[in-house]
Amino acid sequence: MTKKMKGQGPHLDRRTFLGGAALGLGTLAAASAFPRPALAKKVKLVYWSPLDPKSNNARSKAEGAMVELFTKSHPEIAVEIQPVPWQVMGQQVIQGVMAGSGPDIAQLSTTNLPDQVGAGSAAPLNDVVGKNWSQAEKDDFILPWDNTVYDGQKMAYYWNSLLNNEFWYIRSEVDGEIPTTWDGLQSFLTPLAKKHGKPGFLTGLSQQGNAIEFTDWLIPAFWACGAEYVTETGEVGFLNENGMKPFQWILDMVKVHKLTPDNISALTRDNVLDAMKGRKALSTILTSNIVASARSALGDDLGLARQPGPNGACPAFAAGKFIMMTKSCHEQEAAGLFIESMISPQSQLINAQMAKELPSRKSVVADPWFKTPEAADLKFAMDYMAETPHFFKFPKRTDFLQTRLALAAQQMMTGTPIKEALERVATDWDQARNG
Amino acid sequence: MNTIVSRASPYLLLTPAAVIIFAITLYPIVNLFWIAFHATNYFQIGSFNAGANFFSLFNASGMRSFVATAIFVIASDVLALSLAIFLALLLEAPLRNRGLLRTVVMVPWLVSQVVTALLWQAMLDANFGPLAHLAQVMFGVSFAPLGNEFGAMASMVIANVWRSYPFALVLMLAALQSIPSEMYEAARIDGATRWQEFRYISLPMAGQTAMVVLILLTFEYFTLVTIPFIMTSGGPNEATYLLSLRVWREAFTNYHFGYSAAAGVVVFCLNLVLALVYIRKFAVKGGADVQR
Repeated sequence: MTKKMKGQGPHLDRRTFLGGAALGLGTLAAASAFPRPALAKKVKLVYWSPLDPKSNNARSKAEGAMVELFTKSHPEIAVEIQPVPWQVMGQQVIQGVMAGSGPDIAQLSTTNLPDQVGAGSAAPLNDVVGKNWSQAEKDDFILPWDNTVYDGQKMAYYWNSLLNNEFWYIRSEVDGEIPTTWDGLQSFLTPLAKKHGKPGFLTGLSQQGNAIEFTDWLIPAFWACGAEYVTETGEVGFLNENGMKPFQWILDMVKVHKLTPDNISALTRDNVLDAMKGRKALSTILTSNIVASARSALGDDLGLARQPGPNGACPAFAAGKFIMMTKSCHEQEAAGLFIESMISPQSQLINAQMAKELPSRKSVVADPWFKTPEAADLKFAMDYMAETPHFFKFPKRTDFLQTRLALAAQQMMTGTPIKEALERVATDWDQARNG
Repeated sequence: MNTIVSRASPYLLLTPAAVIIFAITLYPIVNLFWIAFHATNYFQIGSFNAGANFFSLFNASGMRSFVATAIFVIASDVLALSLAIFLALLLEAPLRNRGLLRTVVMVPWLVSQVVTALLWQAMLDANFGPLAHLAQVMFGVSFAPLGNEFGAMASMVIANVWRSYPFALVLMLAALQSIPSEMYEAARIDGATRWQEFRYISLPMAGQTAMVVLILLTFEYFTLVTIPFIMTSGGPNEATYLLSLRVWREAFTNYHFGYSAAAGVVVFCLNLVLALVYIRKFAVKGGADVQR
């Protein structure tokens, strides 16, 4: 069903993907016919989410509906959603669990799991979630099952899928087809930036939010250049000629072509998102889960394309937010039921339809809704992920490496040679992972 | 028996407070030193590693934190205290609506650090900030202070001073008000100018209070995390990566508790030196000296 690409994770072609989806859907339909187990006593779960249940946005409403679906089928289990900002969720969970006051369940950003496992705040799920699942059910996940397995234990489940590197552009100001190469993009954007008097391409190098605004496009650019983020032996895979290319590209965009402003060192993902929503830049690279937010401001004027690379589009950088049970959890059975419900095809379909989040399950994609114009953005992402996948598992201390790479890029902006800055990253990384 | 009880009773009465102080103050400090001298892996404390955790504080990146902290603390101290003295003198003068003015200048004190940071970040936003808009409309230039090293530090200092000067102002105003008016009257009879009144009466009389304010502000600035975390996240290029932020980030982003504890020890020692100055200069000499 899957085949290995050199230096990459499992490859999924479209046919395999859709076949798996159909098989998974059938299995899950059969499985859902059995009644769910109920708990004997009334229990309460505390769920930390980056989405505020009182907020009026689509993503919060969708999560509320997913939780409601669970509580309707399990009235004996109350769920209290406590919002925590996504930028500090990882740290807060670890601190909470270590202090003995952590949540039962938490939903975290894709890079956070290795550190949750390393810090001992995540609880193993082998005996809690999906105990009786068939292999077909396990194969129903879009992202590799092993991505969240450590020492043989499933430590989390993907709450959604994410395409980290979508190229966004303002349609009314960027006419024509988006080039797939860096050179083509630069030539294409230069006259448009001059014409509209705004940056042609915007990104952010801030270390805030674990520097995801930067690394979400940098990592697939490494792959496209023939470099790696981290090698199988745990060393940095970008301290070479190929790894230097993405940095040279962004430096040229700032210093030579003047398509990107030189104040990007301070910009965060939220700054870039706001700038795009306010039409302050012609293009950027952002993640699939915030397309709906931008579209609410830009409507059809938001265009999506594949991330340009050195010789063609970069591979899709597919990841996902995950949901885990913490070691503070005293109601493991209820927590297991909750996680199963949140990642169930029904919940995932709700999230896709209401929040336009990519589902974590293949079988959901077989729903007719995905053929409607409403699902066009999701279909774009699914096609990109299916055609040029490059799944990989984040290493431990990845947040450190991400913020360290952003600092290196900031140093390059102020004149530090690329090689020297990357050598410092490699030294710090070796020191960090070896204690 | 009664004598023993009466002698022991003060100590017995102090015991609950002593236990609490030990638990919430002394134990964490001792533990901080313990961790600082040990290897760590996430939350696991490993073997004794002498001062290895301190070495990283004295590399190029660490030194930038020392420099950034020094610039931030000194600039904030000077500006906050100067502004507080200036406003205290102004508010001490017989102005119309003086009560209202005193209330208005105190408003920043009511604003939390998080809100202060977000407020200034929004004000200075390169795309949507009002200052950027004004700069673009009036002078046709882009204004992005948070995007360069000098601008980021300057912005952070301004935000910090804006938030903290009311505290200094309250104390300075109280000190000025406690100076007997006869001294000013006598000086005027002798032909002193306003500047001479300030130079030879106000400043010496309120000088002790200014020193207290300076030391208290320095304590606070040394341990400030919220404003740099939200406004600049330590950037660009570690120009605003204060020691306090390093303590936090090493612990809760990088999970290097040994390094974090080492940085915490350094911040603690710097504050301890200040505290000793404070105690020696004001507390030991007795309450009379502290009153102004």
